[in-house]
Amino acid sequence: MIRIGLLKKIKTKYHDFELKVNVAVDKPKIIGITGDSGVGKTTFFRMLSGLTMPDNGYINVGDDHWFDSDQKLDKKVTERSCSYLFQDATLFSHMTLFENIRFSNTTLTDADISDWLITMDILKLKDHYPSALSGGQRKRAALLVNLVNKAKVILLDEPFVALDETSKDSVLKLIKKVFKESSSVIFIASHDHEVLEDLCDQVFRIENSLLDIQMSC
Amino acid sequence: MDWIPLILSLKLAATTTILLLVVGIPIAYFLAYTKFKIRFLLEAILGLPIILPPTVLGFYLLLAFSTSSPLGLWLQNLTGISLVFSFLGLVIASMIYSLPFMIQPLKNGFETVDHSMLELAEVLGKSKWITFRKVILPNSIKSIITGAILTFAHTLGEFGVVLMIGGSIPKETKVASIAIFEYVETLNYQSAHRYALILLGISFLILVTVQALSMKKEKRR
Repeated sequence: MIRIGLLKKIKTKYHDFELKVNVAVDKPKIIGITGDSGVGKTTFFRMLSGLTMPDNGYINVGDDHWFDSDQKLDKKVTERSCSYLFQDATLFSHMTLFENIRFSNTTLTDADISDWLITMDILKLKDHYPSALSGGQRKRAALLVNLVNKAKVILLDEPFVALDETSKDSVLKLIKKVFKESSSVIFIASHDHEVLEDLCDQVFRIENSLLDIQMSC
Repeated sequence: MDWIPLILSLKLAATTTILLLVVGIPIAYFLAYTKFKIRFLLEAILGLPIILPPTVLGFYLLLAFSTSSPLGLWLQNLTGISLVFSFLGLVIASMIYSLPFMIQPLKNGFETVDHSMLELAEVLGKSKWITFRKVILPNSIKSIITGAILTFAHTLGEFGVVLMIGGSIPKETKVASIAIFEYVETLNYQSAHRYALILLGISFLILVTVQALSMKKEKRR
């Protein structure tokens, strides 16, 4: 289903290294990715979504080729079916929570949006602007915006940061619900090992600049 | 009091502002987001009217608009009227003269839109046009209003370029600033005062509005 082989030189303040990514996943799965800060989790997500250009390699999702350096193929971000929850839980600041979700997926009805908001226990905040939300509320809202988009690949970068236990539970519930109802592959980057172990089919660690995910069966 | 010069000034300022909004938004968008390496050169050319003496700009526009130049001849064939000493000529000259006053605030506004919102729109599959309409424009409203107000005010106070291109044809190109100049020339200070005070009032009102806008807290953020 997903085949990825990528190389990317990463320059940081402290050291330079070459991130190597190999992924082979044959079925929809929830995959955890962990590793120390700065090892390249976000870079992997950015390369997969198309926001950062890999140095070379390939990304194939089903029969769809998203990137192939040999063939000079680089599919536009907008044409990749890939949603991405950024670490800072970005929302559109000029839209209410309701409008944010509507903008993400214009085919949703008002009732659909309300259902999603109820799932996350933030229905009463639907007319609020992002600036009026707490860190946890914002995280849940941003997660909704990304999950309702129904992409083939869903990338969640630190979705559990700034969440209390209740919020964490509703986020877990939502991820499981979306996974059950879709055929998406969900990648979750997090430092929260306990939650990853509980939620994911398997957890992989980036070590020695290598992320090697083999889930073929 | 003859109101026509004032009405002409307001008409010129309004027309220039509306047309520059239409022309300026795509140019500012291009400047804000292009990776074109010699962007600075384009910005320098577009910013020239800020530092160029209006008479210099007016002189070259006069030469360009006259029917002895290929451009002027082509424009006359296209529009059917001579651009020199006409209201249309004034509008085009004003657009060139005020271009940087519209472009700069717009470009700054577009550049300061949170980059992660643009990336989020991209990963949600939104086209550049939808992102522009639904994300960039609503987040640049203050800059658009500032650009429009500055352009309006700048055009209203125009003198050098207007005099060179339009001369002083009553009911056609004799705007308020030219009328003031002529009244002063004929020592008719009382009439000059009337126009000057009205222009002063309008200019002050515009500046107060710009200041109020820049101080206004962004409630939604």
